[in-house]
Formats: sequence, structure tokens, C-alpha cells
Amino acid sequence: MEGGFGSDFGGSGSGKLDPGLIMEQVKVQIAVANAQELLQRMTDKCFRKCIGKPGGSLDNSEQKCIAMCMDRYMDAWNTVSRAYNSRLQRERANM
Amino acid sequence: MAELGEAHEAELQRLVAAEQRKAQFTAQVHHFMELCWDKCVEKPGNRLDSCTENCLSSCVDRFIDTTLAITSRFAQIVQKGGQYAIPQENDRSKGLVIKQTEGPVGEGCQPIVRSASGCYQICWC
Repeated sequence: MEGGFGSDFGGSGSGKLDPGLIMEQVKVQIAVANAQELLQRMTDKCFRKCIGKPGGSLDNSEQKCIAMCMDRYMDAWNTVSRAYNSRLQRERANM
Repeated sequence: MAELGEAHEAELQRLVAAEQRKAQFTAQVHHFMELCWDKCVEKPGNRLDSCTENCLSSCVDRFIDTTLAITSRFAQIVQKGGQYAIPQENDRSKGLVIKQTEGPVGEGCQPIVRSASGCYQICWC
């Protein structure tokens, strides 16, 4: 059974839509969008940190820096995410 | 035509609302990274040292504190009749209230700031 966007929105031919299957697709779309956002920002930040005067190609030190930068960016993302979550819980507890 | 039963529709709304909250959280984390990475990370090394970790945590807290400080001071400035457009009223004993609404400017209100989520209006209450 085809939905409006050319995919089966969990209809499975029964005429009823399944919220569970719809949500699976929603979650996948959100995850993809988040990954795109992360990559775009990571690229921007790591370019700034690792590439000084742009040369004819990326040399070894620049490539190593980029690899480390990516790992550190994701570590930092986790740290920030935890800190924000803690703060939200503290604020909720104070309300 | 396929359709949702009422119970399914309510369930779906609940699940979507939960995902929206998660998406808002994630968007906010991206925003924090935008500010805090530059402040806290010098040159990316083999790991994040504790100094950098503390800086990132503090950065989040201080940003939120800053937001709260600005909001409350702004309300004070407006109360004291600052340079923003204040609606004219003879009875100045009424208080000023900052409202955030979508849609048209209410009665006795002046628009002051347009944010992503709607308009802030100053209104006599």
C-alpha cells in the first residue's frame, strides 16, 4: 500500500495506520537530520582549528588534526549534553 | 482510505510531542557547542582533559544564567519606561507586562521584539 510520499506508512494493507511504524520512520528522519547538523558544524569547527593557511592539499598533520578534532568534538558534544540535561533537572526540581 | 482510530491518533500525538521535545533539546546542544567549543577547546588532543570538560559544563550553566539575567533585567528596564515604545495610557498605576504571543498585537499592546517563536509585546495589564 502506498502512502502520499511513495512509502508504506505502516498500512500493511489493513486500512489502519500503525503509530509504532510511523514513529519508527519519524525517528529515523530526525536522526538523519541530526547527523547532518552535527557533521556540518563539526566540519566548520575542525576546519577553523586545523587548517591554517590553506595549501595545495591537506598535509599529514592537518589530516591527523582533523581526525582528533572529530573525536574531541563528539566527546565535547556528550559533555555539553550531560551538563544541559543536569541543569534542566535542577531547574525542574526547583520549580 | 487508511485512517487512524481515535486512540491511535492520541497515541501518535503523544509520541510526536515527545520527539519534538527531544529535537528541541538536541538543537539547543548544537547551539551550546557553537559557543562553547571556541571558548574551551584550544587544540584538539588525544582526549578532553578535565580542565576542558569543566569549561564546557560551566559554559552551559553560565549561558543559562546569562539568559535568565538578561530576561529579568530587560523586564526591569521596560518597567522603568526605557527607550522602547511604551503604549500610552493615562492611568500609569497599571503595571507593564511582557507577553509572548503568536499572531496579531493585542489591545493596549505594542510589539517590541520579534523572535523565532513569536512576538514579544509590552502590554498594560
